[in-house]
Amino acid sequence: MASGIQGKKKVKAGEWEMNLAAVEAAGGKCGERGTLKFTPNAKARDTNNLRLLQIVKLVDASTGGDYNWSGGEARRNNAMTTEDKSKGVEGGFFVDHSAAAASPRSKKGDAAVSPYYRDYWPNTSSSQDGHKKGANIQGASLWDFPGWSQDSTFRFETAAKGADNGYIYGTVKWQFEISGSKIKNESWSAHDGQSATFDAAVDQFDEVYKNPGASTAP
Amino acid sequence: MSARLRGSRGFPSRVGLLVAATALALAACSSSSRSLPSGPDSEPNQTPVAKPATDHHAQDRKGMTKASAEQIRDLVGKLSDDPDPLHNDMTPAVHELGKLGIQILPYLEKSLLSADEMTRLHAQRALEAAVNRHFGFQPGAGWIPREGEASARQAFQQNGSYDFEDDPAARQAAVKAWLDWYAKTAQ
Repeated sequence: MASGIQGKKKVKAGEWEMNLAAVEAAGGKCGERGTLKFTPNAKARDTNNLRLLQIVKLVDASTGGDYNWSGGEARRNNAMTTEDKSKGVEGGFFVDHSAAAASPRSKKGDAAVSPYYRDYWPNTSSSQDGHKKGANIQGASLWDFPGWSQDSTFRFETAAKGADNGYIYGTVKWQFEISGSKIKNESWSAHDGQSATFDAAVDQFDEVYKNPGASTAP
Repeated sequence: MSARLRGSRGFPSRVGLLVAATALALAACSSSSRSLPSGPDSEPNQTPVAKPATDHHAQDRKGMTKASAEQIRDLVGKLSDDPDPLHNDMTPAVHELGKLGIQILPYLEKSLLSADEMTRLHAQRALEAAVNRHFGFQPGAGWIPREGEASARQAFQQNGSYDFEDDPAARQAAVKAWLDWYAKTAQ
């Protein structure tokens, strides 16, 4: 029986707390529902704006390939990483965002399109951005509910990042599978820094949305 | 490994997009017996919520159209259709309803009180999307200004902090509070 993805793990700059409950509906949708939270420790560098940025890969077991996004979310397909074994980049990951809510920049004066999770799903009553100003510390969190009715594998890498200093405070990799309307193989691990795949996904996001600094930027 | 700044840093504020909203709106919020914690955690340094408001409907008017009752009812009827596998609480109808702003609130009553948990969750997200926009949230850009989140959070708390998992009495009370808030705010 699935136990959810729960617990606390420390990294150099703080601690991750996972509080995701497994949801299993017979013949229906299965998934994980709840919060992820990173709290910086006293030794972490200061930031006025600690935020969570997440990449994701969804594999459809019926095809063995990445889920094909359609409708308003079709642009997620373009935002996926391309596998590059020489650089340690896995294919099929993309920044977890709502493509239906975002449009590529068309002119230089346009604001950058945000890759941060809560700029799409603020879930104000159950999640927040954080900060670390000396002894004044507030963790950053997000609320999530990935799940599907089909056999599939969900993989995530979530980073706590200072939006003002660009520093990654820590990351967490978490995943689960859906098989026969059951949640299986839940796992998670905490890390000090992000993967090459994470960087590649953010780069691809910037290219797709023509953010400042990208080769596609207007 | 440190991250690069490109494309993932703070965003420039947009002057004039939203006059720091809400004292009037918040004053119009119906009273609640619940206390007013600041959020998931305490936020000791957060900017005080109450600000002079000159036009708390400014954000509602920005980019929003007056929808017909038929259009809103149609979207509410599709509230739980085709959820995003990455975000089961979100559906295309939730997204579209959020765009329409707080005018949708009266149409969400039955869904917020539904016996079906997922219907309530989707209705909650539509409610939140509409109210968040009212206080300056722009999907893909975040809160403009940033302090808008504190205003939205306070409004949610003052109106009973509707939660799809709450017991029916709490949900009923929160729905009544939101409908009262809408009746005052939409005047």
